[in-house]
Amino acid sequence: MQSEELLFDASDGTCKTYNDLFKRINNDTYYYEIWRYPSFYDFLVNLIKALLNDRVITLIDKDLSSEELVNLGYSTKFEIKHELKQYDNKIVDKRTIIDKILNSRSLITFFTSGTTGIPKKIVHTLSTLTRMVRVGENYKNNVWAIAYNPTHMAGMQVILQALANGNRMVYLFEASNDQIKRSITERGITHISATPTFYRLILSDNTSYPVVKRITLGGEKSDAKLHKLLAISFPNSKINNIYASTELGSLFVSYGENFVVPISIASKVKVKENELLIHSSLLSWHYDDEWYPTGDIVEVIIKKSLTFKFKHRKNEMINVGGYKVNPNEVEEVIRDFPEVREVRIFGKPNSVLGNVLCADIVLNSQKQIEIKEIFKKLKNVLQEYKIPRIIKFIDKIEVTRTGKLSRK
Amino acid sequence: MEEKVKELVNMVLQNCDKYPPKNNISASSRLREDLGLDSFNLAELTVHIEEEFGIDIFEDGLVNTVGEIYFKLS
Repeated sequence: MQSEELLFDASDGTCKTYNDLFKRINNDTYYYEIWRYPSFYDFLVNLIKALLNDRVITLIDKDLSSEELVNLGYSTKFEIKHELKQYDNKIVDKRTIIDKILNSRSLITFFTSGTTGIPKKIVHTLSTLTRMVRVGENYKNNVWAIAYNPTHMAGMQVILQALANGNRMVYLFEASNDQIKRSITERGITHISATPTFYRLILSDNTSYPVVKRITLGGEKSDAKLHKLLAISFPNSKINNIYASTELGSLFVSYGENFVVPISIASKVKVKENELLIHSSLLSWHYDDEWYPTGDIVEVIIKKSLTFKFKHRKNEMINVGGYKVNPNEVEEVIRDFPEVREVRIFGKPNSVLGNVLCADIVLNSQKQIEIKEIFKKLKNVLQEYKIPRIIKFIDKIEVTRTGKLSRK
Repeated sequence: MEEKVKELVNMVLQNCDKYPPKNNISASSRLREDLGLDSFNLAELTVHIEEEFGIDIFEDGLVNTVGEIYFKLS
């Protein structure tokens, strides 16, 4: 592994150096404003070209279909290409490229993942995107795993953190579980930021990764059991949760289950009817009302310091026969069963109840349990309406484009 | 078809500890009153029946007896 390595792509074995990047930056005379890019390296180079030239760029998912593109307001063309002037002063060192990227005046458009209906366009500047990026000598040798979709907020946060310090990136987002596990060890990864679902799917009984120094969880509610498992598999890591969204960028970090609002933004955060509201001055675009509803339902632990716990998304509740079920709560209970490796709770439209609660379960290898037994166990701990009635054992859990458990 | 429906009904009864039913399952057995199925059980049953036969038996209204299920599926 060269110290000037920019990227290793675990899904196809691509290795690229910063020198490879400089060559492209200094010689290419075009960039794509919209592109259904073929590989992560292509995506990265294109993004950097846009940033260096202060150009606009719109990030779309690699696997977007023509139909989806049309629904987002674009013609069925997957690309809009623009010319670039070649640089007079060639870039040959990391420091220059990093400074230019961090000071870019580009506008970057994201699409929300659209789990609640039609995806929205959200435009960010480097200023809002780098709010929590830390630069320094201490970070010089970090090796970052890219475990999020690069075209969404969380992925972008990690990419910018890595680029800001000239770190090596290891692209894991499209890799298989085996490739991921191997890469963590073989590529010397020190920092991982991913969804709880990602971690649960790669955690096995025995493998330990002593080189990893930092584990960050984001995008979904995590739980104490997962933190315990992570502490075992990543014995030398600090573990924390990050609160971020496409609309807001990154806002708070927690250690343990509770988030504490930093004093610097304390006056810009409040809770109303259990929903977290953020002052519109923290948004990167104009919002009509003063307070922006995040759609996150929280439980306030300490009112004075605004210490809170994330409960669920407002629209995540599943209506079963008139009762509202929090899928996270049911998942937590089922994950406690030693036989269960991962579970996904979702609703399926049903003529009798409106929605019937379903569970897809991945068992730990070599463990067996009958569906009847699961029902029995659940009856002891959950109210009737919270018990999933359709239980299936599967090999692979369904996740969204942003790596979270699908609720469909 | 009737045998399969009875099999599915029995499976739902077993899952909720209401098995065996007080009387044998016949066409005149009422789902709620005789077999003790509640809304959650019925919802489960409709899913299994739809997966097996491709028909949502509750789609256009209530089904009260096992015989009515046979009717909808024939």
